[in-house]
Amino acid sequence: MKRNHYGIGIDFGTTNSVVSFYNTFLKKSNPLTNKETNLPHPSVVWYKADGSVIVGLEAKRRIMDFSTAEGNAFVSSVKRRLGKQESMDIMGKKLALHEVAAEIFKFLRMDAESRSPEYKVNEAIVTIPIYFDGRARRELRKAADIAGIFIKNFVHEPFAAIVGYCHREESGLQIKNMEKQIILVFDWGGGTLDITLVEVLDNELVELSTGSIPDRAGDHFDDILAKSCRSKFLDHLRISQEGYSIPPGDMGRLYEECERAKISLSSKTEERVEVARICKYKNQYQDMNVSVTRNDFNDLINNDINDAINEVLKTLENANVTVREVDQVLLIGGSSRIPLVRQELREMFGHRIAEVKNANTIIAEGAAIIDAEGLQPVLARPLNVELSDETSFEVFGSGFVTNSNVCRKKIHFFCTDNRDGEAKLVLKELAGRIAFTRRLTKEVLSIPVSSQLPQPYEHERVTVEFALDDDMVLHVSGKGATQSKGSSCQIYDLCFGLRLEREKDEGES
Amino acid sequence: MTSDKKINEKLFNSNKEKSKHLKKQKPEFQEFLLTLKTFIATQNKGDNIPKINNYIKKGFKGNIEPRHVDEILRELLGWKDLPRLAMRMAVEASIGRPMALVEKLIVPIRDELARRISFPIARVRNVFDSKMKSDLEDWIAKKSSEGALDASWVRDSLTCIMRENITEEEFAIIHSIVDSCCSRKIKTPRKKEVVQPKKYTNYIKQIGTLFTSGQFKPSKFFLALDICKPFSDELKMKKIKLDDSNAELQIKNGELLELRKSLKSVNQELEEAHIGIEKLQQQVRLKEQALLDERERFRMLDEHWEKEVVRESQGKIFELKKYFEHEVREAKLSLDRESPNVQMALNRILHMEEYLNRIGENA
Repeated sequence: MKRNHYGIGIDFGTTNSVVSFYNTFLKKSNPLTNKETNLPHPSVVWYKADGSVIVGLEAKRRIMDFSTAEGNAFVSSVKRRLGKQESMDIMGKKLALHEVAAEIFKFLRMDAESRSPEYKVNEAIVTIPIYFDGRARRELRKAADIAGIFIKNFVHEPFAAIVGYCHREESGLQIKNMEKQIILVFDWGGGTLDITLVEVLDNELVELSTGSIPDRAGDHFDDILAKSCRSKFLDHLRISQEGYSIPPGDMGRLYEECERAKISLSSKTEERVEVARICKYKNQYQDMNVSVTRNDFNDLINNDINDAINEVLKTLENANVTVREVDQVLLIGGSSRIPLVRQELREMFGHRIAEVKNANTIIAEGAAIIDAEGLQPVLARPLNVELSDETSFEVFGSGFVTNSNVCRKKIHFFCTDNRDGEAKLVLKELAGRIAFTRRLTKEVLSIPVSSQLPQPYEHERVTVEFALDDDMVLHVSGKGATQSKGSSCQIYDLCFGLRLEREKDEGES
Repeated sequence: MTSDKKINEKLFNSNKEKSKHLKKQKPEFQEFLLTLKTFIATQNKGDNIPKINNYIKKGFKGNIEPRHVDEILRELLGWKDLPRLAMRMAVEASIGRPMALVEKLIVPIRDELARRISFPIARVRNVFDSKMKSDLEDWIAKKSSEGALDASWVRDSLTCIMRENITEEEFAIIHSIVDSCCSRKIKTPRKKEVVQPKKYTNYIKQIGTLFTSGQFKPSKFFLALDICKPFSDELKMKKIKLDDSNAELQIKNGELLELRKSLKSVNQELEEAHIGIEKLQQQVRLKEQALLDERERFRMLDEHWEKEVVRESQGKIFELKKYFEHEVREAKLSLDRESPNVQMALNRILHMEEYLNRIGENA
């Protein structure tokens, strides 16, 4: 066994990012969290006035102090904007979003290599949310390239979470024995709630359906509790809500107190939110002293929790899966530890709920395992071409490894109706093995053909080429036999699964 | 007249002496060899063996050197009538004083004949000893069983046995052979003569005459074992011993076969054991490697867990620090002013106490 064989996974998150190594000799993961906090590095980039760039916890800490200071710029949640072909104005300089993202990759690489010099972060598996399309993937690859990291493959975050969880001893699960099991991944972190229903089918992880609630997660709950306390406090002082604003520094203290109270409320029924000298009113410092009960807090977040539960039900419904049919529910992210959330989910799924410890790093750990074991993403559904006469041809079957060497095909068709000077191809993802999930239903490629042929129904030969690139973007180009120019399109949102066994190399028995 | 007579007598005598001198004069070696070659090549009406024998006896001028002997032998050894000449030379060597050249030639000729008939060649040259009897008897019996006994064989064997000063044992053998094939033609010596070997010169001469002649054919052929009886008895005893030995040998061979079988199976077992040892050694090597790997794994795991503990501790320290920083800061802000909020500060202390009580609860 090779002692130095390892895999590298990178969870490039909206709020936090982390690199993890998986040593195959030890069968142990080593997530490189922040040294001080043992938490993933905040995905915050601080462009300083002197031209230097700070990333991570240090940047996050300084947002309050320097965000308004001239010559400083802070960028957070850059991932959310990737793939939209946007750019940012940083202190008068136009930067592409992937250049900002590259700073995070650079920081992750430098931090990992300085702390574990035995590992080299020059290639890795990078996780992406299910909704991340080909454009976003492409931009993410560019960012990694700038940092000197080659992305071997993209893997969906819920798949990485499942693989990471199953490799943990505490799970007692073996992914090989989970054929036909349905797993619900409930990932409610600091930024978004992501729900993914996954099935283990023919030794592949395939997504059945997804649900998502953006901008409503951990930070949101602290925010609404702080706002409620502020409101109560101002009512107590008989000050109008609009007429007074708490300085940012003191608001930070209030958030810290709210976070403490929120944690305390998971074990107590009532807690006091007390912040000394939060403001000066009538020339006197005022102390905030507000009582918050668990019911109050539950009322505050109840709507969000209900929305989350409804999203779960909707996700199940979209896949035509009942609550009973779900075999495992993985709770990931800090917000999933809120008692009310656990209570609601426990009522639905009972003992099938698995709370993942150190969930902050589980996705990166899973990605590193996927890298170490050589697992590869595969096409989840067959891709077909339909002609105007409703004949249909399969281009790629399901289970194809997403490798540009493998997924390359040239097909010849005959245009059956050239009267409009166009041969129209309809590209479709078929339901295949997984019937109830989002899929590419229609993408039309119009290929110019000659309309000058003597008879209206003469056939013109059309050649169409298909190629799937490393960013899992399908390139389709077609050309008529009589034409000098053809047409092409790119399909960014094909559906991918994850094969759970290693693709054997040539010559390997 | 008298003087004439005397002169004539003198002349006659001088001529006689001259011719006598001429007659006795030996040729040069080359001349001798040439004449010998001519004799060998010439097919006379009569037998030319005595003539050649006499010529060889006469010899040539000068010393006999080994090369002379070799050249003569080269001529003789290819000659078909060599055995008869050899017999003649052997007879003359045994009954009289042989000429120097004959003495030098008879030894290699005997060797050659002995080689031809597979005579126990060591015995041709050595002194006749007691073992000779059994060797010769064995040899004769062997030849007899092979059907190889004929006139030439009898002649050659006698040539090989005959030598100067024939011993009693040699004579017994010679007599036995001769009696077995030509008793009618040779007068057996009286007992007295047998006792005194010098007296059986006549008998040897008769053998010489008979066997030198090309006409001889043996009339009967079996060993007259009366004379060889002691040897025959000994032979019988030896045969019995031989049979016993053969039987014993057979048993021993059987045992040897068994032992060989055992040896083979033992060897096979040994080979299997070697293979087993090799396999076990291989397993030991693999186990040792696995042990080394495991040790390395444990070492690395230790390192991993140490790092993990440090990481976890760092996280916990951060949590504690963050919590207590907040509480202490709020407590200080509650107290460090003109009208301190003691209740709020006390609450902070209670929070911290509560927090401290919770530490280790889930350990």
